[in-house]
Amino acid sequence: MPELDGTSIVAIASFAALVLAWLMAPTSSVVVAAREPLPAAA
Amino acid sequence: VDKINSGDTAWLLASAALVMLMTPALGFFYGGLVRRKNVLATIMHSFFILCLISVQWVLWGYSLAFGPDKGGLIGGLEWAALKGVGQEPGPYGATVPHLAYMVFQMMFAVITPALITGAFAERKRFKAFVVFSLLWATLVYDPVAHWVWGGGWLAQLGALDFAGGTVVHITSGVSALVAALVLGKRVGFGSEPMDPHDATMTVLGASLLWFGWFGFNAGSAITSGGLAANAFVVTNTAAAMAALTWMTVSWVHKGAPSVLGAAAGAVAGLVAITPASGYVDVSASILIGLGAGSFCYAAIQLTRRLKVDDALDVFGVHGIGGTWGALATGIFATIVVNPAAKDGLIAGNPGQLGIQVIAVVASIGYSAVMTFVILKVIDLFVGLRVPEDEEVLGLDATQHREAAYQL
Repeated sequence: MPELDGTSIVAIASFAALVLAWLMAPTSSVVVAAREPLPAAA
Repeated sequence: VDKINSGDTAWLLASAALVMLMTPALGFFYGGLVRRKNVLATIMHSFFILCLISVQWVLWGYSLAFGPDKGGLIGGLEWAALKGVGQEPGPYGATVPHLAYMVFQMMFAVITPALITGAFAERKRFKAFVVFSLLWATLVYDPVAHWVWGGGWLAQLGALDFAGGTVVHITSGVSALVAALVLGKRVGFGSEPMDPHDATMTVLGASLLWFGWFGFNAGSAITSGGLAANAFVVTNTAAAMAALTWMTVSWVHKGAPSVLGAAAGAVAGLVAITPASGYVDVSASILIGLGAGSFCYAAIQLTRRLKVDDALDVFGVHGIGGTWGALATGIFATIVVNPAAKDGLIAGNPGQLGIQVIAVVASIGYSAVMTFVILKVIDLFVGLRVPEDEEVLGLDATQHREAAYQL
């Protein structure tokens, strides 16, 4: 295993936080999209 | 003591930049092929992966792929967060900084999962795509890259793959086929037109891919000498020959010389010459291009006849093109081109073709099984597809709340 310094550990944790945020984000914006004008579909 | 060569280093860094360009180019190639309501979502697939894997690679991807070998299967985590990867040469390039080699390989790791996105275009949930890309890069790309390039079991066996026929194109092409089958067809597939919304965008994307491919293949020499020049020439020749072949076959088959066909043919030729580019001469590259244009065209006709909705023909171009290229390497390789490599079938070493077959079968089998498992797990927790009403509305609006064009 690597010997990581403090900066590296925080860097890995910050990327992990982003991944967690993606997992918890809404799966679709269709509800919002339905309330707003939509571009014409092709 | 290894000494850094400025010419080699300059070429490798320039090649890394060329390969980087290929991923947004792929976004344009695929973006032009989808309907107008999905173009932003399709381009986003490639752009997002460029960002995602750039970070994944420096944190753990490079270490898993190229770190100290663990049983021939995977690299260790000793180089996580690039610890020990510095400005001095590493084990993979005696005349270039280890960091330069790492970033060159990063761009390969970036484009490979991006290639798969063409199979599930126009129907995959963005969140599912994000999770899939991260898991696939870690569990499929990194191990197979280690097997072939990181000193793993296929490298020890003697498999030849100069720039990624097995590692990049077979893994992505086969995974694309699995993804197309698991996700199922798009709404209206086979019953309503799904014509490309902008063929010019696709031809522009193919042209930029071709340009970037010089870094992909000639850069893989890791030196700026004769081997890089050979790879450059055979790459261009195979791309041209495959484009001419595809256009001709489509002309005979469907009555018109297709522009999109010429573009797809060029990409098929680039795919097929990739594993062979450091081992074959220019005559072989013409035959490899001829085979790519023919086999890939035939494969796409077959998948369409079987009603498989591989939306942007990823399996036909990358899976079949990569397989043909890997096998052709075992047929046409010669130590006249690369004294550090091995002869192939025609030069009197039929055993090399057998080794190439093993590499192809292993890459196909591992990629197919792992991709299937990853997709099933994601489907369980996130859901792979958007609901039907969102698919009809388009992914640009429903996934990204944006529109590509205000016309």
